[in-house]
Amino acid sequence: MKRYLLRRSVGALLTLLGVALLVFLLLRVLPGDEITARYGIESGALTPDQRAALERYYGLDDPLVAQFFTWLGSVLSGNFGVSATSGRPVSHLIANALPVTIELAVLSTLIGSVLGVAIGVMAASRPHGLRDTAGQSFGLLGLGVPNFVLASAIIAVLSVRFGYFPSAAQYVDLWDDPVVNLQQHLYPAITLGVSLAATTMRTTRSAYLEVSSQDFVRTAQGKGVPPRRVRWRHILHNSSIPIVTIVGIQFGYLLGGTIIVEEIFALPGMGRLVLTGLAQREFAVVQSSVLVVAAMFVMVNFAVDLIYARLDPRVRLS
Amino acid sequence: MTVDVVEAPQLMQRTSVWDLVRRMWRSPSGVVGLLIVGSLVLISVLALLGLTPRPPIQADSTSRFLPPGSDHWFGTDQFGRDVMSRVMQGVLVSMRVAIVAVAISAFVGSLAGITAGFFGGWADRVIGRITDTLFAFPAILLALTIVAVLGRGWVNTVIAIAIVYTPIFVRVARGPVLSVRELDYVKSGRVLGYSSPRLLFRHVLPNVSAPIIVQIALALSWAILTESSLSFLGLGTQPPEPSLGLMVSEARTLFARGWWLMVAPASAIVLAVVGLNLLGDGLRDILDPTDSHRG
Repeated sequence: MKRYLLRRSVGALLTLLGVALLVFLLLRVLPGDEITARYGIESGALTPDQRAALERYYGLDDPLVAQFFTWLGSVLSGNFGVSATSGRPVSHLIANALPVTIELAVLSTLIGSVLGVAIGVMAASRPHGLRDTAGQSFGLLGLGVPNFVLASAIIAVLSVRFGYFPSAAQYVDLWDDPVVNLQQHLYPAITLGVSLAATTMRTTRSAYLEVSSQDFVRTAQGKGVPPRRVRWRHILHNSSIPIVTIVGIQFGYLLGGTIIVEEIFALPGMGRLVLTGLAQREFAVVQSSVLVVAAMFVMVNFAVDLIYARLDPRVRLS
Repeated sequence: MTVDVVEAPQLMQRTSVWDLVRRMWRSPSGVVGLLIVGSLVLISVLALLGLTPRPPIQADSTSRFLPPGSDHWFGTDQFGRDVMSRVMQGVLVSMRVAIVAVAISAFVGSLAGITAGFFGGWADRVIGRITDTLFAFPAILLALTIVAVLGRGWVNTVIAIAIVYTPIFVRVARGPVLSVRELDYVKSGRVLGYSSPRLLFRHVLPNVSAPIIVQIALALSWAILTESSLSFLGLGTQPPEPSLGLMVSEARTLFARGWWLMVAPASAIVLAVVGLNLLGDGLRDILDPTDSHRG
């Protein structure tokens, strides 16, 4: 286990370094630099001397490699730069937005896994029957209906029937008023939960079917264990590894998948931070937010791998 | 301890096209998928030839918000444009982006994956590292960032989607190559002095093509999803050119005036995604004998 842990940690660190490098390079490709961002069209009127002085000031005359490590160093010490529009440090903006996204991801995962496991077991307990067809259709539709279509449909119905239209200005923090906060998270969480439930349902169904054909299940049935107990304690328990894995992986995807849903339901999370940053061409905000989300994604996947290796010894031995 | 089992290579038997069609016909999801995808392709071709009921961007202020009827099958929108024509054009736009993007990512990704798997060593390590890095981004976030860097428009959407889905093809192609390259017929090819390209393209590629073909169908469905998501956010296809994502986005505020404005484009997206998924499942059933026994 120790060797496996070491190998995977080194891999995750290298991936994180690659992520940082890619984000850095993506923004170097962009036309314009800190000087044009700061002075706009007036930067065209700068004399060569002034420009050189500013370049020295912003460190733009350093070689690219040095710039990368300077940037990485300041990111690692928590300095993400300052947002020009709001005048606030980007680290503050992220500190406000991240809990919203994490709350949404956790709620969606809860809804998705409960719903997905229940429908999966229901479908698999009688393969090719009516319930199975219903469950499989749900799985197919859940995967086929994009988040933004479902979210738009929900918004459309809410706005017509209740005159409700989400607005970011009315967002209430979880600690200020949990009830209102959960209400605001409910529909976005259902939207994301449905597609997550579809994936979870498919995995649960196939894992359940695979386990239920094994001998110990027949033994349990033969010695008269009640069907309900066989279903939940014997079969589901033993098919939990792929289910846990897929839920973990999905949780990671949710960190990015929330972008559109946050935008539609006007939740001030990481997704909205990225999108408004893009709209206002605030690259310090975009760069740092993308980096934070990708870093969390890598770490969640790393955690899933570790859990997987702990549950299934074959993984770490191979 | 478990005993190591040498994984059976996914060998594609020599089968005629007719044989494949017959097997496809027996797979219910394949048939439904094929029908849906076929009709979407037909719609795209009609739109490409300009055979929509009306020009998709022709506005008519006298016929705004008309409900679906005999004159306008899917109704008209806030500018009096024919929704059916716009959906047809939107399907064409989505298909065009998806097909070009997946063609690029399937070609580059499979080539990189096969190279990595076949040669191993530093090529494998470099390609693996790049793949891991690209995988570290949630897909839509990476696509968004790339479009933001490159600028809006359909060509940049294609590039963004192609970059996002290339690593998937790398993984799908690399895995089977690892087992195929150890097989006797490849080894004997090597002994006979065949060149690496010949071994790769004549002997390895045909035997790893099944998973790649299945992946193409699935990737097309994701590409359509991603394209419509980007358009929804205003980063993909630009107005007045119709795009399914943008139509859904606009329909949110107009829902009280016309539900058909949302239902028509949304159904087209869902049909495309579901159809391609079903086609992918069907292809997997007929191409991959190791998987066919699963329910």
